[in-house]
Amino acid sequence: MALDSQSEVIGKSPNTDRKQHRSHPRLVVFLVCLVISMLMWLFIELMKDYTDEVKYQVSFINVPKDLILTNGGENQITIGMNAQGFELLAAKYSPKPRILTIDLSSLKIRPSENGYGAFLTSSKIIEQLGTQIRFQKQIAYIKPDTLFFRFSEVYRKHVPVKLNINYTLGGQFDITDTIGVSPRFVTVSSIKDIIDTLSFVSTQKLNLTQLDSSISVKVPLFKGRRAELLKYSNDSVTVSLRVEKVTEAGYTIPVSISGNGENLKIFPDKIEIICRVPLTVFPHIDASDFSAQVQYLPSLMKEKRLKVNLTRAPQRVKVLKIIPEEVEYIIIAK
Amino acid sequence: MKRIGLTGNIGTGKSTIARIFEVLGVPVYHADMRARQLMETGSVIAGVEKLFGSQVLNSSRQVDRKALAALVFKDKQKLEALNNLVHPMVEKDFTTWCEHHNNYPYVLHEAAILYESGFDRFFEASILVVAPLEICIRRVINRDSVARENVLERIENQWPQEKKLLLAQYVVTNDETTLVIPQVLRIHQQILGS
Repeated sequence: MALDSQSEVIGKSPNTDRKQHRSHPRLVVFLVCLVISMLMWLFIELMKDYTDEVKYQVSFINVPKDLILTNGGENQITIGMNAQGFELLAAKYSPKPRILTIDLSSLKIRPSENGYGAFLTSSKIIEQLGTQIRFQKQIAYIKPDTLFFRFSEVYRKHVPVKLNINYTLGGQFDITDTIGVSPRFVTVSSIKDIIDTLSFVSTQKLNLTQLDSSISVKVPLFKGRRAELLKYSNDSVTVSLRVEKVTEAGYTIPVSISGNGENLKIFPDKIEIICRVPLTVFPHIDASDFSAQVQYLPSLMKEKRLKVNLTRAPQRVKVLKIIPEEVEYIIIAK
Repeated sequence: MKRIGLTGNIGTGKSTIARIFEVLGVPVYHADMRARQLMETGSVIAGVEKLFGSQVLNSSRQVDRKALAALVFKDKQKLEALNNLVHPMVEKDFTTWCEHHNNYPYVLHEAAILYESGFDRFFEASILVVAPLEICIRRVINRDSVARENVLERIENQWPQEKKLLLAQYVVTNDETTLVIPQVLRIHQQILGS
């Protein structure tokens, strides 16, 4: 019984599948036809002309000499254009940034309340944009229809570059020379308000980790929120770090007395200097390469100790500690 | 005239303290320096050669101090033999020196191993200069350009500070924090007044 019923079931199954298979080709053909018809419909629709808006970023070139554009933030325009559907689709959804350039060299600039002013009508803008937009059909309108410009006189200032750096060093490595920044100064061109309050220009943050060799990198200068009003003579600086393997060393050196200190006796009269020395120069350095001094000033003679100043130390040697930093003294009465 | 000993372990700053006393007009006998000078005399050279052989003499037949130090600092018996040779000469030299300074209220005898050599028995009082061990080690490393192990070896040949504190009448703390001149002035006044 069991076998019979199984064979019955097995016997029915192929018939059902065949029916399904027979119905599938019809569905597939239907779907293919549907897709083709949709594509053709889409193609026909996109061949037609439409009027639509496309937003463009604009950048301004040839700003008159000695003037700075102070409303450069209004740098987006909307162009209404008659074009084929394909062209509009390409213009609106192109992955490339849509940037148009507007030449300001022919502007008629007039003095205004807050500096200088000028405007560019849509017809003038269309003249310039016509060559940049590769559409066969014409531009219908531009929003805003007139671009207004405000200019201010350019002021210049020579300011130092401030390095914004964060670094870590590999074991036994150290920076053995002044961190080089080239150029150290830049000329900043901007409006008066900014120039008056500007005392330095920062670099963008430079992060360096586990340094174990000398390095030279180009770092862009930071402009901040009012970037459009700032123009630097250099947009970046070169930062150089001399990184070397170092060792810690100690030297005992005598302390001299400056000024009229014949009657002054200091204790101790020798100090210890603990410093970090590059391995390459370590064999060539000894205590005679350092000098230390205390200053004899009657005004200082109320203090119980005098400060020791290191007056000479070899280049690339980093003095970590002077022991003691102050010495005691006795003034011998004549 | 009083005879006062001034001592302290290596790197404590004895010489600085001695200099302050000198500025105050107190004659200071620098025993270690004087011993070095005596080592250059014929009788000491002959004695050193007899004890340790010609290996501790250089080509000009002077005592090679480095070679001698390397030999005696590792061997207490040899160190004792050297001290037995040098100390009587220093003692005699100091007595002569004192005779030349007997017009002073007191004189100082600066030596690293005042108690260890038993030399303190010749003095009315002794001044001990103390400093933390790590400061002493650091000072000697920088001053003599020697390794830490060598400094520790030299310190081991001296009595511990605690033991010396029991024998000293006056103590100067030279720990780079406490002012030393007021301490020296106080001791100076006490010695003059005693």
